[in-house]
Amino acid sequence: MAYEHLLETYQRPVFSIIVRMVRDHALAEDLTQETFIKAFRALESFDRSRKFSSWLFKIAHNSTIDHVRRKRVPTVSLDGTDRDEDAGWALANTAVSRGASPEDDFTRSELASDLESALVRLRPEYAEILLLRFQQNLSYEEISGILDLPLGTVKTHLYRARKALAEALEKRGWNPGVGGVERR
Amino acid sequence: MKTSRKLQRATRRWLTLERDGQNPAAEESLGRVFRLLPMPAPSSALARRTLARLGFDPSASIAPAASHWAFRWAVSLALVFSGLATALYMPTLVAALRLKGGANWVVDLGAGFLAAVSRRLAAGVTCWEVISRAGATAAEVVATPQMLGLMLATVLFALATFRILAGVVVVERSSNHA
Repeated sequence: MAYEHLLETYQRPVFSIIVRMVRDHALAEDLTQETFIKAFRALESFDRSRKFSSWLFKIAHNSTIDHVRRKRVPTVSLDGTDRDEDAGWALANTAVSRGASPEDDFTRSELASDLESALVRLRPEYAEILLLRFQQNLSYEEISGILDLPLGTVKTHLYRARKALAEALEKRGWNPGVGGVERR
Repeated sequence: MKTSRKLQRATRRWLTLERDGQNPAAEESLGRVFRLLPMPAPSSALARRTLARLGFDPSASIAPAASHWAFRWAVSLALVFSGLATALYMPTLVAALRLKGGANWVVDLGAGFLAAVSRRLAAGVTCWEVISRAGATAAEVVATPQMLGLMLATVLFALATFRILAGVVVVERSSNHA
């Protein structure tokens, strides 16, 4: 069951990108499933000289962007920060490990949650480009191929995405302090 | 606790570098933040649902090793040889059991087994004595200050070399992403 092995290997990375773009767990699972079904049906046309993960992420990107455009998913919640707070907290707590003290656990969870909230509040294409670059460790060229964007545009988007994320995090009160990142 | 401090430190460093406009370093630093951020996971049933939609029966999947042709050949040959051995030796065994009357043969069998095990253990103890003597001799040599110093220097050198190599690998990986 080679395809089962591929599914187990790439399911979580694909899901983690999609869920941050659409900010809905159930919808992200549906889109992840759609991605793997499309990939399976197109396996014969896969060029083995290419990286499988890049090809798969491209399918995931196309499926998600199609859905976002069809449904016109808002990039910022109309009802304020509550939904994003919940989404951020939920995402951050899927794999939070226990710290040595409740305060450390809380602080780490709070920071991770705010990072997730800031990420989901970005434009989907900015969140996607950050995740492809920093979570999946893809090169600029690979990202350019996945998103069908020129290399210069990829670098520009990445720069803007970084700045937007930093700004969003600072707006949530996280600033570099003397002793560490502090919430003011 | 370590993860909490690591995430805080990484985030502080990234925000500081962003504020100071050090773009390449900020990008590398943000990469570290993302590596420390937990990756959201789908429900455990998603894979099964996906395979079901593709027409696979997830419960029918077999272990990868068991599907290899060499494994199957090995199991088949083992079964064939077991069958042949049983067919060849079973009559002799049955005849031997028939000659033994009553329960005495069970006691004889058990006693014989224990005696055989004891003899094997005694042989093992003899081997262990030889190994132990060799080890004691080696320990006397190594326990000298000169040998201890040489061993310590070797370990430290190996550690330092490993750290340097690890650093080179990290730098090369970072430059590959640039």
